[in-house]
Amino acid sequence: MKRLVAGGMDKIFQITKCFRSGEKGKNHNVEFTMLEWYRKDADYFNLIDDAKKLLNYVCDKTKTDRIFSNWKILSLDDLWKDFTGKKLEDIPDAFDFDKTMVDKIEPGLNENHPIIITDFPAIFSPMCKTKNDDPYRAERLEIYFKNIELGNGCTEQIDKKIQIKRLLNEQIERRNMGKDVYPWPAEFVDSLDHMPPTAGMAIGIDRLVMILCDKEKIEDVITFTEK
Amino acid sequence: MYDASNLKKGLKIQIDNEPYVITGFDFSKPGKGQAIYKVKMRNMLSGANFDRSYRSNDKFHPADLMSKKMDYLYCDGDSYCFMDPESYENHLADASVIGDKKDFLLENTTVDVLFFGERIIEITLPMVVKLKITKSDPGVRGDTATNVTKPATLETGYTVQVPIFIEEGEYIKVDTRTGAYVERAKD
Repeated sequence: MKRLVAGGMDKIFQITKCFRSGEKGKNHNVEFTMLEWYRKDADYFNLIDDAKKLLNYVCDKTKTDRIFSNWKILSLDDLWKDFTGKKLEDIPDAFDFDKTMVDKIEPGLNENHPIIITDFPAIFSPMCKTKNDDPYRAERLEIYFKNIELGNGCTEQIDKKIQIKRLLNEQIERRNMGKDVYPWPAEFVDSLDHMPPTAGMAIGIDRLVMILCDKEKIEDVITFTEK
Repeated sequence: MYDASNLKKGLKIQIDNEPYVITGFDFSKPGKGQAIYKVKMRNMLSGANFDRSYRSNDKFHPADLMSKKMDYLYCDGDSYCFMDPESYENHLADASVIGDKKDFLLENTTVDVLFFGERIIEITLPMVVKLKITKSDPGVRGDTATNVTKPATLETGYTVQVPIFIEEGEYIKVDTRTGAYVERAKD
C-alpha cells in the first residue's frame, strides 16, 4: 500500500485477511482481519481525526452506543513514569519494552473510553518517522480501549537512507537469530524516491467487533479458529 | 525441551530444579513488537502461584516426574509408607503431601503416587473408596418428608453424613473428591 501512495494515490484503504503463524491468544488469532489506510500529505495527528470519525460512524451504523467518545491522549513517557516509576529512556532492550507494555501498561488502561498513546521510542517503531525535534521518539500512536490494542499508526518513514539502514539491520538480526531472512524489498525501497509525506494506520477488525459486542476473547467473534 | 510456544495449560516444566504446573497461558504481541508468552504456573512443591513472561526463544525442561501405582502400607505419624507392588520397594511421603487425603486412605489401598525425582509430591486416591462405619447412633425418622441423615464415623476417623438406614459395622462408599456418602457397599 505504501508503494501505491508513492505511485500517486492519495487516500487508500483495504480490509484484508492477515496471517501470523503460531500467534494464538486472548486477543490474537493466526488468521485475522485488518483495516489499513494511508493518507498523503498527512501526519499521525490526522490519523487520530480519521480514527475518531470512523469509530463513531461504525457505532452509529451498527446502532451501538457511542462508546468511542471522551478520547484521552497520553504520551508514553507519562504512562511509563506512572506505571513503572522509571524513565522511558532507561529501558534496556526490546524484550523489556514489550514485556512492560504487556505486563504493566496494558492492564492499567482499563478505562471505559478510548486512550491514544503517542510518541513511542523510535528504535522500537520501525517504518515510523522520527520526530523532528526529538530523535529518540517516533511520530507514532496506538489506540487502546479497555486493555485492548485496537489500532496502530504513524507518520511514515520516507527517508530512504534510514529505511535502508533499518532493513539491513533487520536482515542481520534475523540471520543471527537463525530465522528466515526475507528477500530484499527492492521495489519498496525504490518507491521511497517518490513518496510524499504520508500517514498510515491499521485497526484490527476482530478486536473492534470484540469491543462492540463486549466479548472477552477474539475467538468469540471468529467463526472458525484453530484450537 | 519445550519452546515457550509449546507451553500449554497442564504441562509440567522444571525451573531451578523445582517442578511447576502451568495453570494459565496467553499469547501477546504488542504493536510492532515481538511475541510474549504470559504464563501462570504453580510450584508443585510449595503450591505457590507465579506469573511470568517469556519470549519465543526461551527453552524449558520437562519436569522430572513419574507416576506409579503403589500400595499404602502404614503411617508412623509424620510420614506415610507406600510400596511398589512389583519391586516391593518402600517409599515414604511426608504427612503434608497426604493432607486431608488421610481421611480416605486405608492400609492396602492402591493409589497413584507422583514422584519428583525420588521424592513423593502428590498422591491421587481412587475416586470412590469403601470404608467401614465404626460408630453411628441409630437415626430418628421424625415427621419430615425430606431425606434424613445422621453422622457416622468411619474407620479412618472421618465423620460423614449418611442416610438413617445405614448401621454401625456396615461398609459404605465415599467420594474422595467431595468427601460425601455415595451408597451402601454391597459386600
